[in-house]
Amino acid sequence: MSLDDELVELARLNDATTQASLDNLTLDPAHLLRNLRFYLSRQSDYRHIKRLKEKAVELTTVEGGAQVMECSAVEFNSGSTLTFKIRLEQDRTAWVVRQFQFHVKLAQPRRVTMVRIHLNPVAARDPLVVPRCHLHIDNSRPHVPFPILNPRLILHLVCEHIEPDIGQDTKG
Amino acid sequence: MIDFSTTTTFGVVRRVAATGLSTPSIYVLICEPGELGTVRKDLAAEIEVQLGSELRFLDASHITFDALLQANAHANGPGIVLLAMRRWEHNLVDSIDRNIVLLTESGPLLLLTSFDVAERILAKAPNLRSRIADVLLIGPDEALGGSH
Repeated sequence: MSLDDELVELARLNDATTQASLDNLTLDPAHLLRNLRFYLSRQSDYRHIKRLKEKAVELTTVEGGAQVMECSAVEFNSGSTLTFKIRLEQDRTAWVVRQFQFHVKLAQPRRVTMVRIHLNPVAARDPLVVPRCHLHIDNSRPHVPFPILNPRLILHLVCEHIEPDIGQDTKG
Repeated sequence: MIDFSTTTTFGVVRRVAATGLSTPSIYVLICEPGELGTVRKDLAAEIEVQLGSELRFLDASHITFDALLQANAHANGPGIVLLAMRRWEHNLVDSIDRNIVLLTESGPLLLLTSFDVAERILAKAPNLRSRIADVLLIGPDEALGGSH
């Protein structure tokens, strides 16, 4: 096997691990919504984010019976914004995460304007270039592999680390 | 006809959480009679998520004041009592009104009922009325769409 083929094989293995993690991540959509909404309301209590609307996170049933959870906009006190969308599908008796997008637009001036975390619904043709779960910094081309985390942990990561720290000038 | 503010199950549990489970507070929650079961389910789920606690459900047509007092006692551990009153319960409301001081020595109480019964409670139970933290209109959690 050539070196290139070996790397592609390793990337496919990574996507298979991603799928296995997703299979183990079963979530009740309503329970997840309540947890995310409560987490955001706590962030609002701590004044990390601006006043939270009660319907900041909403769940809708779409064609085929999937549930889509959407947060149209949460504004941090710094001026950064967060939107996210999570698609859950029923697999036999359990709900599994099929796709998500967390978009953080960072307040300016910062050296980074945007961080995006994506889970694609299916594996890409070339998993070496586009791993199924990945992170983008700004509009740069690289799809940096990202682990499968419970959406509650991703939200925590965004609120406590990505939004406050990324792109900040560390000098002085 | 009295105008009451509208809230959600999320909002009312946030309010209860802000004052704490050991603080006696009585809320009258008004919902459509057909939505009582869904509101109850939403409240129980919200209480579990926000407070890590349980909702103790009591049906007003099957209990006495003593049973209500016992369910609301601190000795039962932290929790919130939901008293569902589908129709006017003269004896129970009268007992609550006469012994309201005993109820305000324990944890939060949510009284879930219809508009007509709520108006009657406010008119016929002056002691209870004076201890009510708020009267709120409530419905199923709209943010959940059709996932109930």
